[in-house]
Amino acid sequence: MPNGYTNDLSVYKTQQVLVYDSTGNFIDTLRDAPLLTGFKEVTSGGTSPIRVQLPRPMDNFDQDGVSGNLGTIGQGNIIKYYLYGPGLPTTGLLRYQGYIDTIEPEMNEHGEEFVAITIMPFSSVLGDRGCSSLVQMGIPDTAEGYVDILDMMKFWFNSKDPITNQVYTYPLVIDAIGTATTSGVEAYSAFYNQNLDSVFQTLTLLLPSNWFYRFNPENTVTINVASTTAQHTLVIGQHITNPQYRLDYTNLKNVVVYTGYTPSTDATGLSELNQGDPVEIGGQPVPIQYIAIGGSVLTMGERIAYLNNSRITDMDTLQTLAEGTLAQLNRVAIRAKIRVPDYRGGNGGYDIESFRVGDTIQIVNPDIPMSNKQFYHWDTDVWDTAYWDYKILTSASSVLFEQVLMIVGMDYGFDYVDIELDTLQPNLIQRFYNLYARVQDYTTI
Amino acid sequence: MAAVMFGAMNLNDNINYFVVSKPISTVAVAPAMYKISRIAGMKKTGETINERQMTVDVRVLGTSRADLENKIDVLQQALNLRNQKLSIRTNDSRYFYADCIKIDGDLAPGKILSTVLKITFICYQPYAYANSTSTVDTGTLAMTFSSGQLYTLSQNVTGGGSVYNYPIIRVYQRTVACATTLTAARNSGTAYTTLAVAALPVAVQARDTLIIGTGGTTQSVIVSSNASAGATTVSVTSFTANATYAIGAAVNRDASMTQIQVAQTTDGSNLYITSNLPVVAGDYIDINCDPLLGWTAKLNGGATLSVWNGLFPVIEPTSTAFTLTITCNSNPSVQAVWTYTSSWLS
Repeated sequence: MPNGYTNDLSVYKTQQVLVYDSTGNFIDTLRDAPLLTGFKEVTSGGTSPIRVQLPRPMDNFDQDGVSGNLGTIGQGNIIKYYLYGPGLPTTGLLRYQGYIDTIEPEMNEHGEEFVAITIMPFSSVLGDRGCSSLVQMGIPDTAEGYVDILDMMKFWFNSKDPITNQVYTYPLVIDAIGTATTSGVEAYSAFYNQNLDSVFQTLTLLLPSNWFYRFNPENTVTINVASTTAQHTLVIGQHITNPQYRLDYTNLKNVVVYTGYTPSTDATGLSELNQGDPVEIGGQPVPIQYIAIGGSVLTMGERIAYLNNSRITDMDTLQTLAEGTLAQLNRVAIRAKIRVPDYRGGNGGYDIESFRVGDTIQIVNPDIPMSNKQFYHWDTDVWDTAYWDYKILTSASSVLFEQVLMIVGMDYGFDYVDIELDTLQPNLIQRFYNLYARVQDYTTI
Repeated sequence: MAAVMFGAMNLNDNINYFVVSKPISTVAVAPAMYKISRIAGMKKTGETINERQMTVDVRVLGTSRADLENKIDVLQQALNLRNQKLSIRTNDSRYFYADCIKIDGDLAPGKILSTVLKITFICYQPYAYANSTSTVDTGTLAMTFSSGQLYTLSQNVTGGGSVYNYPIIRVYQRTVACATTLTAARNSGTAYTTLAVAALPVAVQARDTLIIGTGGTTQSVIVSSNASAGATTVSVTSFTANATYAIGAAVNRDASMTQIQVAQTTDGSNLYITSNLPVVAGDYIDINCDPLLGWTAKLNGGATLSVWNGLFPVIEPTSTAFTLTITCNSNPSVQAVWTYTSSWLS
C-alpha cells in the first residue's frame, strides 16, 4: 500500500550513480548526475555512449590527480547507474555502465560552469578490439571441419588477443544463462585485420534469421534467437503512447549475387579451387559466386543485389551467406516505433526495465473487431453497430497488431523508452552495408 | 508581527522596517507526464520540485528622506549577503537558506518618509529547516539474531515538520572485547568441541566467533552455547585444529562486521555499507544521508569513504521505520543515533 510520500519506492523510481576507478575500486557517487537518459541499445550492435553534464566549477570538478580530490572525474573511471523502485532489486538494477572517455569542463557565455563527461559503454570493444593475425575457424570446404557459428562468436570471449594478452572482449563475458548452446549452423570462416564489429557482423550474417547479439549493462553479451512467442504484450490504451507503423518495400531485394574469393592459378595453370564451379574463363580464374533467388521475383520483378566478400573461399559458406542475406532482404520491412511510459509513478504504462533489445513484443488493440467481421463504410454505418477501428493488414493479409515483432532498438529516457520493432534489423542492415562497402570489389546495393 | 530575519538583519523590527506581507506558498510540483493513446488524462511517471522564489514586502520608515535612504542602504547591504538564513514564520524560527536576488522599490512624491520594497529571495533548497536538530538514540542494544551472521535492530523515528528530511545515522560498535588465553593446548589435526581458557572477562554467546592464536596462524571457532563471565570452558562447534596452539595462546572474540544494511521500510529504501566498518567497541560509522553534504559513510570521522550501494534513507514527517541489519562474526551490541533537522514545505 503506497504511503503517499514522494520517496515511496513502491511507487517511484530513482537512481544512484556510483564511480569506480578503472580497476573497480569504489571512489564515490555522482550526486549531481542527471537522470539516466539519452542512450540507445540495439540488437547486434553496441550501446551508445552518453554525455552527462555535471554542474561543477570548470576548475574544480573533482578531477583525478589533484590533491584533496576524490577523483571521481578521471579518464577511465567506471560509472555505474543503478535504479531502484517498484519491481527492482533492493540492491539496485544496474542499467548502464561505462567508462569516462571524454572530460569537457566549460564556462559558457551565461556564466554557467559545468563539466561534461562522455561515458563510453564497454560495448566499445566492437570498435576498439580486433584480430591483427589470421584467425581461422574450421577447415574450408570440409563439412566435417566446419564450426558452429555460435562457437565462432564465443571464441572471442574465451581467447586472448596476442597483442594485449587479454581476452579479446575483456571485460565483456558471455551471458551464460541467456545465450544459446548451439546455432545449428556450421561453417568455415577466417578473420584478419578486422575489428570485432566486423567479425561479429560477418558471423551474425552466417546465423539463421532473427539471431542477434546484445550487450547487457552488467557487461555480459547474450547471443540467441528471438523468441517466436511474444515476451511482452502491450495493449493500446493501457501501455503505449504513440504507436507508428510502417510497411516498407523500398529495400526489398529478391536476387542476391554473392561473390567470394578469386582463386589463383598454380604452376599448371589450373585454379586452386575447382569444384565444378565456373572459376575459370578462358584460362583465367574468376571469383566463386552463388546466386540466391527469392520467390517474390515473380510478383515484384527482379530486385538484384551484388555482394562481395573476398575472404569467403568456399562455396558452402558463400551459399549460406547468400541465402541468409536474401532471407533478410527479401521481405517487407514492418517497422513500428512506440513510446512506452514506465508504469512506475502512477497508473498505466509498462515495466520498461523488463525490456531488452532482442525481446519480442505483441501489440494488442482491444478495440479492433473480431475476425471475419464485415467492413463498414461511412455511408452505411449504423451507430452502435458498426466498427470504427479495424485491423491493420499487411500485404499478406495478416493482422499487423497481432504479429510478434522484435525489439531491434531502444532509446532510453528514464521515464519511458522509445522502442523500434521490426521483423528485420535495420541497424544491422546499415552496419552490414558498411561492412560490405569495406570489403567489396565492385557493385553494392 | 514577529521578527522576520535574514541573517542578522531583522526585516520587521517594527521601528524602521515593517513586513507588509510574506508568503506561505509551497513550491510547485512539476509532474513528469505522458499521454497513453486513447485514454483520457495523463500517466504520471515521476515529479520534480525546483527552487523556491518568494517575495517579502517591507515598508521602510524614516524620520526624513535622508534617514529613509540611509535605512534603505542598510537594508540593501544586509540583503546583499549570500546564503543567509531567512526566517519568516511567527510560530517558530524555521528558516530557508536564501539569496536575495532583487529589491524593487521607488521613491516618489508622497513617499518622503517611507516606501515599500519588494524583496525577492531565491532558496535553492525549497524546504524550510527547523532551527534545532533532533536526535533519536537507541542506547546500547544487543541486536536480535536473524539468521546466519545477520542481526537486526528496529527503530522508529518521527521526522516532524511537514516534509521528509535527511538524517545522519551514527552506528557505534558496542560489542565489548573478550580476550583470554588457552589453558590447555589444542593440537594440530585433533578435533575438539571445547576450549579450556582462563576465566572469561565477559560472557560469550552461542554463535560468537573466537579466534585462537595471533599473527599468521589463527583459527576461528564458533561458540556453541553461552558461557558466563568467569567461565573457564567454552563449548564450540567441532573443529579440527589447523595448527598446535599451546597453553597461553590468545583467544579473542571476533566481532568484526562485514556489512551494515540500513533499511528504511516506510519508503522501502535499502543502503548497504561493506567496507570501513566499526571493529572494536567505540568505533562508529557516520552515514550522512544528505545528498548535498553527504551520501557518504565514514568510519570514526575519517576521510576515507566506505564502499556502499543502494539508497540513503530519508525520515518522513510521520513515524518512519528503520531496521539495521548487521552481518557480524559475533552477536553484536550496537548503539544507533539518528540526528536530523525537521523540514517544512513552507
